[in-house]
Amino acid sequence: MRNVAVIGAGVSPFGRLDALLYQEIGRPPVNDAIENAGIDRKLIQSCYYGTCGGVGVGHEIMNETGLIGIPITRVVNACSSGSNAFRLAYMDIASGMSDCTIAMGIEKMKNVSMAVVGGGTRFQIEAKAYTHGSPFSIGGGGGMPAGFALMGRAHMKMFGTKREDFANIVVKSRKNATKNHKAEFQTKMTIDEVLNDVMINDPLTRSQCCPRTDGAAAVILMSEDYVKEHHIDTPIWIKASAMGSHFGGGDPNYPPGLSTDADTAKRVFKMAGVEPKDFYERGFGECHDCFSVSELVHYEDFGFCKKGEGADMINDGVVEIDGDLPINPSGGLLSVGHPLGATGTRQIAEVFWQMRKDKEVAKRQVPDEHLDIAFTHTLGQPMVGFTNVMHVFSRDL
Amino acid sequence: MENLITRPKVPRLVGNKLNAVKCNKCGNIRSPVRNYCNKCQGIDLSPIQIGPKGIIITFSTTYKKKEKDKKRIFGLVQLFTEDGKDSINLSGTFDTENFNDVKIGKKIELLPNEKYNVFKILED
Repeated sequence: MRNVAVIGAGVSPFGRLDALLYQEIGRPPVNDAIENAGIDRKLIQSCYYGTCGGVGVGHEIMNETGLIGIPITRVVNACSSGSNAFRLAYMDIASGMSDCTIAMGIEKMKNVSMAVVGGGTRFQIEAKAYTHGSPFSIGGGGGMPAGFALMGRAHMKMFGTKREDFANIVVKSRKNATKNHKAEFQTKMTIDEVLNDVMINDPLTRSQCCPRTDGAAAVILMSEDYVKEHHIDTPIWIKASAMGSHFGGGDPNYPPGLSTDADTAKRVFKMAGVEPKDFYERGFGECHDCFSVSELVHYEDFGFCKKGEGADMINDGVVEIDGDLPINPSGGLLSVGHPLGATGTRQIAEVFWQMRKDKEVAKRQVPDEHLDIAFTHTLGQPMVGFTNVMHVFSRDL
Repeated sequence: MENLITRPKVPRLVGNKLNAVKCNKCGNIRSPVRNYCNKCQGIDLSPIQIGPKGIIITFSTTYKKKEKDKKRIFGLVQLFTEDGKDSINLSGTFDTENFNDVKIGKKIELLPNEKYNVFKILED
């Protein structure tokens, strides 16, 4: 496999963008990513874009940005669509097929009619037939918050985790997002405000659930040969890419959570030649905090702490921007928002800018000593089954 | 070519027990019933019935958008065979509106409802 780097990124404002066309949301981040990379757009040889609702949107945006004519592939994989598109763009170069690719993610959530966010489709009805035993199961309670609420309550019972621990994840998220002018929510919340918000699925209140947000993000990838040939001076190298799947049905030996997240983390860290403890010493990351429970459980799944100790990481400030292992310096899905197709590429743009010390993230810059390595993680549930995608990045080749 | 229809005409419930199949090769249990094992692809299956007794693994409440909306308590239970040797996890709703009635680890019984999984909470 060939070495591949991220060389540029662009992100649209995230929020309710109903009035805008897809091309109006997607064109600016594509152009920004090209400008950020400092390359001629003619170098881009293929495009992979993640979206759940945007049929033909990739062609539309590539046409509006002077890139039409290159191979364009749409990737639909629920909340992992964007990171899955990035993985394919990476594999395209790593395999030797291309030397420069663009990975884009875009979503207008109003247009997402797939069962992922509800909707009486045949797909959803079929899914109900399968809802035996998954802690994420849609049967009985309905929807994504329900699944993570079940996981949270099991965590509370097994490990004594408190509602305040989950709420603290939101407090941290909102604090970081005050420094992110692209985030949907840019105001702080207190722990009491989080706990006293509208109850959705106990113990999850409204602010512990990510908003349905519109937005787009794009990143440019390049082969090592092209990086040298075109004198790219600040490439961020992709050290590993891993993906896993799970069908639901529960993990009786791995409650409460998904064993596939732990498996994928192990594989991606092994491929990158790093261990969880390395991130304490010299790394940071963006993880899929679609709900407060999700982020806390993932600290444990990734091996950053033992099972049941996730609450300590948030309460002791470990995961703050100036903590021992900064997680979601952008504000994460809880505050930036979660346009399904765009989240994965938005996360990668964040770690790229952080590691490059780009002016885009100046107000929320992770300290120097933590910029050697970084990870990204998304978890998608295309109604039946789960898909997670993880990447590890490094400043050194 | 094998028959594409893999769903034997077996009712979901027999009284308040779930119909299921156990693979004689790998021990995998599945419900709803199919005519093959989804783990090892074996077709040597034994019909079994699971329930009605089980325990609560986790639970939560549904979102009450309007005042008139009914707040349901739903969750995940582990349902056992009568001999207690086998089990499956099953999601559904509890037949109570009182959140304090529901505790992780509490015993439940599957109610005979053809459409939904409904669990009655048993006294300790």
